[in-house]
Amino acid sequence: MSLSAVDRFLPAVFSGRRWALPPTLRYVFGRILGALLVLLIGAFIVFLTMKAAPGDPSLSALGEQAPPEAIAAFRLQHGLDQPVITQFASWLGQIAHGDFGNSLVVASGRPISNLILSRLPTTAFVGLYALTIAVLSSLVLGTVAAVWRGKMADMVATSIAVLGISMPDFFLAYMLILGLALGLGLFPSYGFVAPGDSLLGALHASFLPALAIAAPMAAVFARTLRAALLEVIRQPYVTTARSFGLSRAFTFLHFIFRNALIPYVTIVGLQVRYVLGGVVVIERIFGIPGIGSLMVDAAFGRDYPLVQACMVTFLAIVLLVNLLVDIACTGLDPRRSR
Amino acid sequence: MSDVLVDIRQLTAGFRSQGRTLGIVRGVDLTIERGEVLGIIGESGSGKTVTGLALLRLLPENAEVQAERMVFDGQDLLTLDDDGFGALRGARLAMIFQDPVASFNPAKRIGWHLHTIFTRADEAKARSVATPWRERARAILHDVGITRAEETIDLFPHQLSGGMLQRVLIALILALEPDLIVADEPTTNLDKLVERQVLRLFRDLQRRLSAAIVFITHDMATAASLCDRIAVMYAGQIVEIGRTRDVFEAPSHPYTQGLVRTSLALARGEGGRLAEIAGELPNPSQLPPGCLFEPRCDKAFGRCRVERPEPFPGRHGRAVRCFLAEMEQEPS
Repeated sequence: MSLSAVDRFLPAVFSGRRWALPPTLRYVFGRILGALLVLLIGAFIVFLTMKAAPGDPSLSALGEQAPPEAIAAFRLQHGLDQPVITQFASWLGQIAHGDFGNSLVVASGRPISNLILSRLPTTAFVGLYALTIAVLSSLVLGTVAAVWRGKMADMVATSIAVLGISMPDFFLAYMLILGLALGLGLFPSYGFVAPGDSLLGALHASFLPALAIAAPMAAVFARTLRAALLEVIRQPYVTTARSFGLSRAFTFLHFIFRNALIPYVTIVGLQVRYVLGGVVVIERIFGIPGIGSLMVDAAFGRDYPLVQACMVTFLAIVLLVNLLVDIACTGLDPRRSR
Repeated sequence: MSDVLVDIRQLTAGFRSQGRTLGIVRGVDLTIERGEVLGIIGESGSGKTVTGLALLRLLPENAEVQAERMVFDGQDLLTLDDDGFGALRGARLAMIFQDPVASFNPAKRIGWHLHTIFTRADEAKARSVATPWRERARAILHDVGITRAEETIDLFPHQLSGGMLQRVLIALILALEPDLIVADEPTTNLDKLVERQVLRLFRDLQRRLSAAIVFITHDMATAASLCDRIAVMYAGQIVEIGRTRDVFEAPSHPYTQGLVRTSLALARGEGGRLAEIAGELPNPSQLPPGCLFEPRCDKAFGRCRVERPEPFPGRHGRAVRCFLAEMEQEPS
């Protein structure tokens, strides 16, 4: 390499300019770091909560009548005699390698990571199904309510939304079972069909649970969209669009809807945690073998490592979805990208 | 072909609110000739913006607009349905708003706006243009004095200054080639230097399109530098209208006299405080029984308090809503 080439190369390295990330990437990077930090703090809180919970894992694993020597051996084997911080650190180290330890009670001896991975697709399917129903129905309801504001259609759509918000998902689940499953026999009241076996069968079988999870969310989404649309309709640029003689459909789509989408997507992202909350209860009601029912089983069985693992998994999913929504919003709103 | 492009008789406009209608525009008569620049002057709340918006049927749903006559180029606007009116907007009628920043879709780039307008203009003129839109965009941005056109096309509205955005808006209007442009205080939010540049662009725009412009402003000096004729609005009525020079050199209505006095004082740097017209616009729900300007008028007399003056015609299309003008013309 000639000296002049080195000369040209070195300043580029040291000035730092060539190596600086573009602002959008830097933003995404920062958000990922932030999410990891929250995950760490969250995991610690989960760990402490489980430590503070009543009951002794060694007793629930070995039985109430276990001899003290066996209990001592169990505690030594699982590191339960160590200080809490040490226990947390070693647990964290395991998680970092994808190892959540073994289940104590629910599926005794099986690696928890296997259990979670086998249940994850089921929960993901039901959750995404619910989210899709919520988004699609709220797009229709919110738009109808905004376009015909103050009219009959608005009142019907708003009433449906209020009903959806005020009805708890477990109550709605039983109502749906009573009416659509037991009454009309349109849908099964129990069980799960894997989408891998039959997509249509899966959509049919999981319709009621997905609807029960979706309804309260759809109501919030629809109201958000209605408010956002009504806010944007008043903006001067919409009058400008009209003054250009642009068609109603074009103006609505590209000026009104496009800008109302920003607050809408933000709210959708914030509400996704309720999908997971709903999943725990609803999976149980409909007998769906997902992470939600796994967590409930684990909690009842005092399978502490399993409960911890489920909670951390949920936390990771929420953080991941929030991250994705945040990035999507940055893409949607050019004013936010720095 | 007549020279009259717009003919409006007895335009009234108001807003419904809590079961009542608050009047804003109270019987405006206006004719606009092809290619002329008509200035509408008045203080905030005098109804000049509402008049402009009513002309393009752009007022919100709670507005109530009525007129005896509203004709654009031989076409009756009163009987035209909304779709028909939409076809006129952007093709033959266009408007420029006060706040350039708020006039753009914040989610879309400048290039998208230009592309949308090219599509609209080509559709309105039933033509297809072979030139790629980017090339057209570059050319038209150059026309309004934006030198870094190529970069500007890819920017979002929030990345440009108000002055630049007003230039882009003028470029959009230039692409639409309308016959009538309503410009609602297009330079009010700009600083003095940029204002002068934008005003020069308006003169270019008018010359190139030979379009008629309704230039709404509260600034006498701006109006004087740009307009062929001036209409002075007060409390929803045109109190004086005439050729710019006539109105400025011999203002006839006491309100116009006050405005001219104020603007001259401002030009001399006297702060304008002393020459300001004391008082406020009348409350729309408690109008004075006589002349609407009477409570603020230093020349008011008995008749002004009981009778509302009609526009009194003078020479060269002059009209003044004042009993004094009537008395000066006919010494009896």
